[in-house]
Amino acid sequence: MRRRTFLSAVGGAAALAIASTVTGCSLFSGDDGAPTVMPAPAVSDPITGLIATTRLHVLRLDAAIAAYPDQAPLLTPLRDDRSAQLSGLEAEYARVNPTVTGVSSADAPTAPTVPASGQVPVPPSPEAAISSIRGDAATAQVQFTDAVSNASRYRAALYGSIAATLASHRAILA
Amino acid sequence: MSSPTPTPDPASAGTSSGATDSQPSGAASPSAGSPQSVAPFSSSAAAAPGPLAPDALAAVQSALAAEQAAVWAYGLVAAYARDDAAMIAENRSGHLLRRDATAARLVGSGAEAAPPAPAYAVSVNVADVPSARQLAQDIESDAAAAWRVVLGSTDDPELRGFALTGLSDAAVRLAMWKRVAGASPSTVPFAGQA
Repeated sequence: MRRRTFLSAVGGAAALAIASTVTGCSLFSGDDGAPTVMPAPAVSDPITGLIATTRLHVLRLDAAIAAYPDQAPLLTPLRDDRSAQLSGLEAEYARVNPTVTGVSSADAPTAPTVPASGQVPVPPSPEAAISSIRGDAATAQVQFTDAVSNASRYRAALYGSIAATLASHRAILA
Repeated sequence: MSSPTPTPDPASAGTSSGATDSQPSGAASPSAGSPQSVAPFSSSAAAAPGPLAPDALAAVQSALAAEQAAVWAYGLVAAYARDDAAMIAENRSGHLLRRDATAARLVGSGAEAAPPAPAYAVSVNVADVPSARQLAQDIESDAAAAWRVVLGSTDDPELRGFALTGLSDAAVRLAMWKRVAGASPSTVPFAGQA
């Protein structure tokens, strides 16, 4: 009898230990019983990825224009377009997210990493720079086109308008 | 801008009342029921579109009108910008295809495709190559604006894709015309936006 009592007590303690391991609770943890559930991170606005991409491409255009001034007549209007698009996207972000004062790269975890200094590598030749910028336009066009389907109506028009402009950029650079 | 506006046609006025408005979506065509191994290609055949919501319908009708005007106006451009004949032919062909695809889409959704006007008034006095090229830019600006409105008037991803193609084509043509005309800048930041 004593042995059975002892075994049942040991078994109960073991069961309690297993249960506490599974649930993360302990009789001796000293917690006040409040669940240790962390709130889910806020869903980021999908526009942040588009903003980050546009910002990166503006930096690349700036770098190419600075490195190859003879290409400035071709590239400066494109850079101005992308800068205007960046402003428009940031304004739209601020409209929908009025409590956020600005969009930083931290808000866009899926965006390419942008050096804090704003410096980007410059392709070794004007031809390579043009090719790189043409590739940027193609990439961004796909990104904005993809974003059209699931966006609100206002944003669909905005994204589509930008995608169409990027198509024209590719044509100009072809 | 200087969109070509239709001039009234007394002969055809009132002849396009909604004869097919009550036609249900997906109504059988005369050839339905007789299987064909080879059928004419139709851009609307892949996925029969459903009825368009009123705002989307109005936007698509406006886009159709813009495409019809473009087809007509490029004839005027061709008369004066003869050195641009290849570009004009290519652009006009693109608008023809889009006009027909848009009309087919409207009919396929149970709506009526409004017929084109017999002639259009243009705000540009086309008398030489520069004015003809200016009209070509206006044509494309109007088409882009019309398709942008379609894009912002529907939640249907497929219709959005259709509209985006029209918007992108117009934006590219506009940039090409601006470049040919020596205009700078040759692109706009937000295609189709006034």
